[in-house]
Amino acid sequence: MRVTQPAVLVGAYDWDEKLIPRAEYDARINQVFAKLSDGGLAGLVVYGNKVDNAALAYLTNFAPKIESGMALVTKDGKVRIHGAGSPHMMVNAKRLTWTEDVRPLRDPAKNISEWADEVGAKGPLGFWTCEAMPTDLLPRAQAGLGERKLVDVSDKLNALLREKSPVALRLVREACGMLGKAATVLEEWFHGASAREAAIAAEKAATQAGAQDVRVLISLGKGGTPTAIDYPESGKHDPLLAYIAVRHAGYWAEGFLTLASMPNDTLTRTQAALKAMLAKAKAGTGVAELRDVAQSALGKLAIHPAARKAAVGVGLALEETEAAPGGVAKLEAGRVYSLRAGAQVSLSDNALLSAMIVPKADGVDILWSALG
Amino acid sequence: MDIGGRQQAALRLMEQEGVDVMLVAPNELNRVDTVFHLTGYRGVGESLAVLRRGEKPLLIVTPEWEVERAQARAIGWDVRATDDLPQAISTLFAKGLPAGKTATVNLGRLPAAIGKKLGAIVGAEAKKLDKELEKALMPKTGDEIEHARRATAIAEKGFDRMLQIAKVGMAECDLAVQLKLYMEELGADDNFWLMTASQHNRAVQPSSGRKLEVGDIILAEMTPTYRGQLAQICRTAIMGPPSNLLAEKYALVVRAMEAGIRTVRPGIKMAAVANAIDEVLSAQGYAEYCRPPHIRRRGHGLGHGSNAPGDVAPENEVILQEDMVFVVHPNQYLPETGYLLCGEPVHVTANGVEQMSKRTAWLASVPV
Repeated sequence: MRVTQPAVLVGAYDWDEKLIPRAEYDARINQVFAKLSDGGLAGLVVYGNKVDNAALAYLTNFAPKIESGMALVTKDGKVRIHGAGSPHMMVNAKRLTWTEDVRPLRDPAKNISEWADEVGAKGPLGFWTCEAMPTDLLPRAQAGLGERKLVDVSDKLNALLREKSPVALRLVREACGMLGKAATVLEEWFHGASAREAAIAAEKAATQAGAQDVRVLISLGKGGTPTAIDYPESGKHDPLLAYIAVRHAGYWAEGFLTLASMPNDTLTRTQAALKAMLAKAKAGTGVAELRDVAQSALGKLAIHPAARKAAVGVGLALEETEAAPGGVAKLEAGRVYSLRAGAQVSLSDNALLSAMIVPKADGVDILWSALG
Repeated sequence: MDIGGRQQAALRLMEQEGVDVMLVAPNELNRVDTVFHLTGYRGVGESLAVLRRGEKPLLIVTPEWEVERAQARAIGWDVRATDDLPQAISTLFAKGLPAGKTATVNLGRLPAAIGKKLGAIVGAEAKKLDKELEKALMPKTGDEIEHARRATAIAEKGFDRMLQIAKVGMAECDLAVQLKLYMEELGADDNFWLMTASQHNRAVQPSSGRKLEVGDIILAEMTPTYRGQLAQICRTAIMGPPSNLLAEKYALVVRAMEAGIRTVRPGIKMAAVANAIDEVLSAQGYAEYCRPPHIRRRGHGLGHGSNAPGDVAPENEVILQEDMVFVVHPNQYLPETGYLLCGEPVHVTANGVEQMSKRTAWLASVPV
């Protein structure tokens, strides 16, 4: 789901060893280099920015609060980070990660070259990036590096982001608990307050529950698709559609809700669609099957554009990069998904609902559901 | 200038540059959303403003479900919503973009998967007019100036709130989040909000989990946006009573800032504002602290669509014009006290300057 991107990440992004022990990162680095063992690479460059930092956070916990950052990783697991800001700004940047070696990011090519020379990394370097990397970054970096090649290993390594360790699963579950609190407050405020006030109340509730980041989208008008709150005040919208994303120690949970004081056909059918999807889902279920059961429940109603992907992987990114270009093909055990159901009749007649799940052999663990 | 005038300015630039089509993308990572600047719409996904000489302007937004807000914001624009931006451009220019007569803005800042496809459609010979368009769209609209005033008022209330709720033992980021939410309640829709504290600061930074202590100097760079327009105030507060030395040094930095603000008027170079600040500080023996690594600039442009007129810095030769909006902030490191923040947003008027904040920075104290 696309969300608003704040100018700066304000919340609690410091590395907390109680939440993610150092041993977890050591194991991840070992897994990364095991995957790269046949590539003849001399080291790894990992890029992230404030919009998308899944790979960077996976290895280092570092999520750039402003602009961009990159980690430079030797094959024996030593990590250097370059983050946006002046040398004096590295004091707080160091708190975002477990590595002591945090330096300003000035010229990526120069930073990479100096590091590679210093650690004796001869030969090509792996480059692990994210979908939000600007188009001009890699060509500029490669041009600056001359003979030293950057080899994009993102497709190979992104599989690691999709698999959830016990630590990652615990954090997603906790994030879902925070999402649940935000959703409850949104529903309470929906009955009396303006849509904008309800959204802020939900954001506060998630924050008080421990979320490091919260993004809320709501209907612009009655029954509208959730979108950015780019206005200072609003009326009360009934029905109100909302999307809430909550991040905890790097891991996201997301949820669609549709609140209405009176039953309506679009919502009733969407509830039935999500219920049918949850009943059908288990490890190995094809997303096409989920879409079919959803469409059966919706009858002649069109699937909402925001629910055309019936399942998306959720983790260190709100929508994980999949191996297949079209998105999730089938549900896999050990992963976390958001199942989305939705119908669109007109700009003011929509319903969207979702659930966070972990597939098992005989069904799913429901971590959070808009159905309650 | 109003937002319609901005479109006309973009079209004039196209004429000057001899181009028939200009594709404009946002540069969100650097907090410059040129699409917002042109259309009034700030996307949640990638978007492109398509300007074609002789045709109605077109805004293409992603994802497909974003159509409602895009239509509501981009008045006077045709709006199309899609999940595939490059495909939309391919379809729109089925016969290809006019060779030698196509320009782009910020295409290199789009995510790589999209930017590469668009680059292949546009071709390597397309003119890059990133800087030229920003310059052409420099003046603020009347609405944006009013929104900057509203954003300033929100920032000032935010700082007042900070003095009420900051407590010893509170984590910086917990305080920062509470204030961000408070400013949202007041109408802010975003916030470039930096806040950090220590006994001797070297810079203002994004907040961390460090807990506030007695004697900490809190640096607050509050930058809420109101309807997409940023305004910034820079403030300093001490946890507990200030020493005489700190009060004296802070008064010096405020005097320097006021000298800079007094300089602002149409027709002068931005460099003159920075120089006026430096003169006050240099006269007190701090000349070496008026250049890097201690200080790089004395303020900057404010907007979400544009950072024009650029930095308040000795090398900035931009001539100030009526209706420019920027922040003047000495934000000075002094060896005796560490880094101190003071800054006010200003609006260049026909005859001089309007300080947009009601109260000039003062050394605030949080009771402990």
